[in-house]
Amino acid sequence: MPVRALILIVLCAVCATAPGADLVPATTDATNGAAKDILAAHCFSCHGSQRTKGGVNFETLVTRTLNGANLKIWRKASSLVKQEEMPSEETEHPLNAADRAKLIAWLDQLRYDGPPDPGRVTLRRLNRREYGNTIKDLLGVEIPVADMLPRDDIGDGFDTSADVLALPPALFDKYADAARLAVESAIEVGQVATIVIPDQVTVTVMVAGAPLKAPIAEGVLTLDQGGECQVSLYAPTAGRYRIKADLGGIQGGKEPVRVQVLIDGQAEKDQNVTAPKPRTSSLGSIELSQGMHRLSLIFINPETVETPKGTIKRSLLLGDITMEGPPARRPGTAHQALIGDGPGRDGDPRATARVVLANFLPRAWRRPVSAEEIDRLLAIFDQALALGETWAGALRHPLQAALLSPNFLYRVEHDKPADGITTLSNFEIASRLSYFLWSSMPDAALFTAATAGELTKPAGRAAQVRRMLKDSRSRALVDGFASQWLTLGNLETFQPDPAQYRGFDDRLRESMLMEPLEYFATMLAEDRDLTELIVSDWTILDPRLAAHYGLSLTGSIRQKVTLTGKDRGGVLTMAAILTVTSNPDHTSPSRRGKFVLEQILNDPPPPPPPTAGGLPKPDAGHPTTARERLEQHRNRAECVSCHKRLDPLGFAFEGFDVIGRTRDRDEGRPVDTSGVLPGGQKIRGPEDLKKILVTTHKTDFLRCFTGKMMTYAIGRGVDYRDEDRIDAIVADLEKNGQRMTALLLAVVESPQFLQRSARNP
Amino acid sequence: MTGPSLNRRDCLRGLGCALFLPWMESFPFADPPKRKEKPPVRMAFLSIPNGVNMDHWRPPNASTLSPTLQGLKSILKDVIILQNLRHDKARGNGDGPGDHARETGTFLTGVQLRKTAGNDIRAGVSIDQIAAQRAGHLTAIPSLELGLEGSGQAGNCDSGYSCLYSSNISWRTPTTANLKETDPRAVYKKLFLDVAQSGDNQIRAGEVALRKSMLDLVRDDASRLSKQLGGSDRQKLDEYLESVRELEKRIQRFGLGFATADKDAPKVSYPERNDHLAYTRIMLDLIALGWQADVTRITTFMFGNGGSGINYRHLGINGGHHELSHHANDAKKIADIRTIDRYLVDQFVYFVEKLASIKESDGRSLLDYSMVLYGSGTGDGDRHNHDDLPMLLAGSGGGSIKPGRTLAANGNMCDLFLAMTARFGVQLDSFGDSTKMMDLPR
Repeated sequence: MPVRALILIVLCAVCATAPGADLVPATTDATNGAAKDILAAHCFSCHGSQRTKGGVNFETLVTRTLNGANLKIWRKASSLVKQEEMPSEETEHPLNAADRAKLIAWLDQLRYDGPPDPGRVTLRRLNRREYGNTIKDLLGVEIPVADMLPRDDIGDGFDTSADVLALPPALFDKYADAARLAVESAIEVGQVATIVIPDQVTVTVMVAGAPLKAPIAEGVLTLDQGGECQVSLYAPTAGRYRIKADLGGIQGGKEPVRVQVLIDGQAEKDQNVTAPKPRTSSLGSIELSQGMHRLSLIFINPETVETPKGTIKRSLLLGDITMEGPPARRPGTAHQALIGDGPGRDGDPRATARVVLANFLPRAWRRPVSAEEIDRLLAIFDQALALGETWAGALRHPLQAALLSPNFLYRVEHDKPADGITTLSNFEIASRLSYFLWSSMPDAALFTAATAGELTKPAGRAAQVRRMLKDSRSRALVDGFASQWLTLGNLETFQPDPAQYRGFDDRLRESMLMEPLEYFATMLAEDRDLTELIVSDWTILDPRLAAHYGLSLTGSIRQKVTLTGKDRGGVLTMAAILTVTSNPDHTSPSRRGKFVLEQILNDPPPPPPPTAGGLPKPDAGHPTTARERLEQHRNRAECVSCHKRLDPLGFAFEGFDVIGRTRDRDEGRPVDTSGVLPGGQKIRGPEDLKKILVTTHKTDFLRCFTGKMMTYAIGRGVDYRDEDRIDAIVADLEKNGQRMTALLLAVVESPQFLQRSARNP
Repeated sequence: MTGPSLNRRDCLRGLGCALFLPWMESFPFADPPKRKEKPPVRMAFLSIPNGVNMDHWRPPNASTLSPTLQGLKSILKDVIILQNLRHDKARGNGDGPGDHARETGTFLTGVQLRKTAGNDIRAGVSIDQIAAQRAGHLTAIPSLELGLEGSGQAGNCDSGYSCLYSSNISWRTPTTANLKETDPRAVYKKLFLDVAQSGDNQIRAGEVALRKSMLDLVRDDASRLSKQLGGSDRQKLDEYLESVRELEKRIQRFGLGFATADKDAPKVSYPERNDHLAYTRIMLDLIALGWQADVTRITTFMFGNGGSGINYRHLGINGGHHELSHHANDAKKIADIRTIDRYLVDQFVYFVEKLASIKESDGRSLLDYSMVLYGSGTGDGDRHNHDDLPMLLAGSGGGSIKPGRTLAANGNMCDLFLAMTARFGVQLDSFGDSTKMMDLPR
């Protein structure tokens, strides 16, 4: 069995490890023997031949092979021993820290030795991102999926987890609505869309930067202190829309109420409102591109006016907002591409419709289809035509049915020998590739390659991967993989304590989010060394973020910047990551340490015991840094073993505040970025830590990153069956300077990606 | 047609004002729906995350309200304070930490969740869904699942449990959680616009037939695939077929299955999403409306996901709910937790009072025909225990319960569920880890 150099400094420290134990004992026969003795002494009394609590008998299990079923029991045992749940409190044979560490080390080096198993991914629903992208590529229209479909649940850190992506009725209804909107946006039948805004979208009223509360009554919104009413408009297709609003004004004196109208931040017009009660008035006829737009109505001249009748607050009254358009016109490009000119006066409507469906269906279902499958959809067209629909209108119905079919909503893969390992077909691989790299359907080139049988050959796949990475759709790896790997979703809702961090606003939030995403995009585009995710001398900044970092930036646009200082560079010291690992009012070295363990080293610590509590609030009389409070707090026996492992990693980042600005003082006292790792090594600041992560722990990092990439790519959590493959990928990567593209190619070439096992383990 | 006897058009007309609910006093229905038979019983399960601070929750004695429960004063005769209830399957039982995933995943299922971050999810069918399977066909919407927080956004939600467990209490099957709706607009649409039929928007019989053909086709697709695919894939297709069937049923009932913008539909205004109080109340109002119109009778509602970190800033609190629940005896944090606990109870009281203000056809109140369970799958948030759960039950279940007391229930949650479903009209011999119905005062 290979000696697993898992673990040098940080990782060896299972919580109970005594400081100074740098290395896991090598699994020689002697240590194997020692571990088995520990097992016998501490575990057999409950889980042996005398008693087999929970049906677990280690006495026999040690003699068995490490097939999937047996290994699963060992892995669970390891997790429970690490969490000190086992041996249970009732035992007469408690385990000391040194023995616990030995036992864990032995358990963790047990590896699967059963037959190769590529695993099995359950029939996987298109998630929200994939659905939106697929609709766009298939129909040529964008629909506001974020407004129509809920966020997907997360499994194993990603929204691609097949077993988690369910389709309960409430969600099916939403997919049905989405399919209908998509088809209606794509295929025009000449009518004019009327959209009543308050029914459909969010109205946000901002007064002096804060959302306004409450004064909506009888459908009328009253603004009496200025403010901006923002409405999201959705234009189903590009065109000219007439926008109307019910506006009224309580004038007070001679000056009329004045409203400025903006579309997407661009001023369109100023309007005087003279009607005392809301009356429909046109805000203009405006050309909109297909998609979401923002309409803002700003009440410019609020004032308290003294009149003979008394004091009047000049107010704007706002009722419904409606949007109409676009006027009937020549069909758009999506329409043209999908259904063409139609049968014309002399053509055969049914035959022409059949051609449309025969072209559409293989793209929608991502595989060749049979004549019978086309004819079934054609029957729906016939039915609609018989009801008096126009030719184009009738075609909407079979298209909609195709989008509701499981053949579209799910990624279907067949088991060929019903029992055993199946190599995926060319078309199945085309979809695996396109959803992995693009979060969307295969394009024409991939379909062509699949038809030619190229995707069952390594060279054919490699050529496609390289081509696909150059395509702008590979941005999906950034928004899908990178964003979730770095837990950036949490930045959306993060609210730092407003009293301490007054400078934080949504613009800064956007700039923060931009940095790791654009950084990752650049890594991809330039095929860079993966260790640059940890250590690098460049980043992507915009003026707002540069100012936040105290750096100067020439020009006003986002750009790649060479870093001269040592404190930034790599994702760990980006403001976004420093922020999502903080509490609203103080930094949390423990959470920052946990991030390193979970997302960089794949060695999540157990959760704190419930009564551990958070940090005490700072005492105004005796200022203390977050670190000092943490050091007092963690001295409790049940806390100290894990915090010893977490905190030194987090202390390295104490030179950054809650929102990621550099600081040298916390609560007025100097910060201390030094720490002692469980192995005894002293480090100071992020530079030391990052260096260790890309040298001593480079393999651990690459193993973690590869595992996460594989999880994202295949749609299931990786487990014992995948460890050998991941190790092999990492070994290859390290030989060639661990490039991003090499990793993606290696994931694609893995049996996990190209095969499926007929049975669940 | 076995649907409700209420005229839906009238119902919709009234809704124009109804959706300004946070600012209006009463419901718009002038006359209660006319029924010959006795009004049906409705049932809601409201879950709060992170348990409570039990020191401030537990009544000091049978006749005194604790600080957290002060809000119950106005509904005292309508509520039972249930004491000493437990959820044995929400404990680790060898699975280690993850109490906040279990506080929700086990809450209505009564089973030990399979500990997994994603692969091979397994919980159990929840009690609301068991009831919906038996009695859901009596209403347009078999059951309604609502909440205030969307799905977890990042990483594992709790110690190796998938976010699916902590984001959901309602499970249709052991592997499929119901999607919970968090947007009041969508709830409204689901309850009322789907069933609108009038004027221009009258859906022609032909169009209904078309929709049926479409669903027939996709159902056929799923059956064909099911024959070709293996075990877990087939489970996914069963789930798909179930969903198609639900939509078909709605089409049969209303002649319309797809949401439709109805030009005649009432204008709707909604409170700000970040106005937590107004947002909570409009969601609760919508449940009451759905019950009043008898569009649905079974509802689950999550004030937050398991281990929720909602920041109740409008209560003058700075810090996430979960973080504060582990107070480490910090006086300020304990005070904050008590404030949150009480605030949430007050919302329950708001809902109960709303039900009490609505008249049924026999002149009694909607509350008289309801059972509203409120509580958490965790006892004390600081301890992560799953015994001594904070639990309240309001309503008299159509005269089958006599509320207005503190009850030493001393049992398992599933015992209580058996007692509730029996009063709802669904008799079960066993559920979760219980075969014994709890005695409720009558």
